[in-house]
Amino acid sequence: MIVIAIVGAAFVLLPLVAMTTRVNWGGFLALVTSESSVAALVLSLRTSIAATVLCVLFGVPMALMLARTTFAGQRIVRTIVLLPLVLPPVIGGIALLAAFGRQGLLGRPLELLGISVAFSTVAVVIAQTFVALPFLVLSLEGALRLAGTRYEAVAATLGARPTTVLRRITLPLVLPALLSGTVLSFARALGEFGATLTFAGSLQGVTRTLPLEIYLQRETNPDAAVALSLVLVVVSLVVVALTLRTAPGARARFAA
Amino acid sequence: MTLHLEARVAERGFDISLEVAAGETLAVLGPNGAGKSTLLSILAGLLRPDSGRAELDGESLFDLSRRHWLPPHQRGISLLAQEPLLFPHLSALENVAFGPRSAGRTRAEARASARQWLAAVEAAELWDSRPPQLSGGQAQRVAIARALAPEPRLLLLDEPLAALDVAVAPTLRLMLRTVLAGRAAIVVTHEVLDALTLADRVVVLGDGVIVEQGATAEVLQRPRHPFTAGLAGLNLLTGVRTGTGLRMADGTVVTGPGSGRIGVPAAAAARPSATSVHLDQPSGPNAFAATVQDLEPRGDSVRVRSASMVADISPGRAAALGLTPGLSVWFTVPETEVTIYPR
Repeated sequence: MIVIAIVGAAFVLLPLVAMTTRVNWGGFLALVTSESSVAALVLSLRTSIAATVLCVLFGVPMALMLARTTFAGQRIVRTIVLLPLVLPPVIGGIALLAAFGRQGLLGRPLELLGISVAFSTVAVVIAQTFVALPFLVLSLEGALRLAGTRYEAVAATLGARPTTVLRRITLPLVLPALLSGTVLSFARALGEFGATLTFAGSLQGVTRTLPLEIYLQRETNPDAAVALSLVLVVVSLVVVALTLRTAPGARARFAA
Repeated sequence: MTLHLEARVAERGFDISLEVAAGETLAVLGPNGAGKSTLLSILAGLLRPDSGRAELDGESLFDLSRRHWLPPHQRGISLLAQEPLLFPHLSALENVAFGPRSAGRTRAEARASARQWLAAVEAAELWDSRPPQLSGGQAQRVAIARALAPEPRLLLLDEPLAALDVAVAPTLRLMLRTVLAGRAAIVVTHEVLDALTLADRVVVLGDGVIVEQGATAEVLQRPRHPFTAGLAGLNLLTGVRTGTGLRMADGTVVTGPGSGRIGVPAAAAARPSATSVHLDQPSGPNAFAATVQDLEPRGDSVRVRSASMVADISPGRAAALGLTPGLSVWFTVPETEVTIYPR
């Protein structure tokens, strides 16, 4: 069993190590600070942060509705909300086009109002939110169910109105899950490729995020692609480390 | 009167009507599943019965015929559970200040009041502690302070001492007695000592209905229900009052002093320590045929259990009789040790 586990770990580690052997260290700084690279990096960070904020704004009420209320069709709603998690992102992009594209269900009326969504930076944020939202809802709903309603019941009998219970009891209790869910959503938004390319296209400085830039550079300038990939690997490592630190650390504080 | 409640929950066979007077502490006893927790949940506003109504200090808590239902936070009823359930992310002081703060007091006022309540439960020095650092007894003290801090009109206690160490429970029981004095409260308990120490009156529930109620001492000395007799540690024999005692359903006669008119349903109570065990049928009155179910050492005596009675006898006597489970024996009680009263 130990051998299999080591083989599994090596399977994950080997490609990453292999990639670092391909890095052109001499030109690294120049490659990652080129105009197109910086534009892609800045765009990626801006859109991912915006998408993460949207995920928290929509995801927290959604998780609360799923975990703390019962309504007709709740299972169906949960399935649909979690669907982007398993859906190939390209399909997500096509679906978003059908909704927000120029000829789309919502896109056409918006177009008449002079608002064009598709192939804009807004489209990038929408695509990223679409794929990242389930991560937040999933982790937060699980934590809410795990925390149970007993503390909330006690708070209510102490005279706290529902909004006070939410603000002072429910959310603080699931804060670790909220943080790790937020970080995971951010990471998913940062790595988004398929839905962005399909729905938002690849316009430098407007919709060409870091993963798109890497894919394009791979054709013309493999060194730059590898260098930028390394940047993304480092960012992802930091994100994973942050998640692991906030989650169990905070849980230990709540133990017993 | 402070509290008046009538409530029915069909699914659980729960149908109860009770009252609690101003400043009175009511103990609710009963076996598991009798409806004790259901009762508290309904009063706290956490469970909606099928029908019924409740009034506290003249204000309606709910009246389902009028579709009126006050949510928990507007009832002024605190609930203290078996586990302290202190909010894990708040310090002891912030836990206690939570109620006053929710009632709209300023942070400073809420904290000042929390300090007073912590002092009242002799936990003032714990103000800065986080719940995970507290022992079971300390946490329950803080939980008691937290339940009292909003100055509830009615305090509900759900087996408040059951989860505690036997070493800590007695001190906390006395502390509860102090803080409950003059306060309207309902204590659900399994422990007869809780009822004796804390309550003015007891209600015994069985299968969702009240099977008996009355002043604590009266109910425990003259139980009418086998569960109450078990709690009070008494042997209970039931039948119909006769001129000399009572006649049980199987025709066995119990003689002894007592009250009640001839012909009314009656009960006879006798202490296990006044009950003795014989191998052969004794000649006197109050001899009851029984089969030994089990033997349990209890300090300086041995408890002999049959289906209907228990006797506490000396270990020497138990050895001399050669008692083993399954043995047919006779239990006897002297006439002077029997109390007979109407059921």
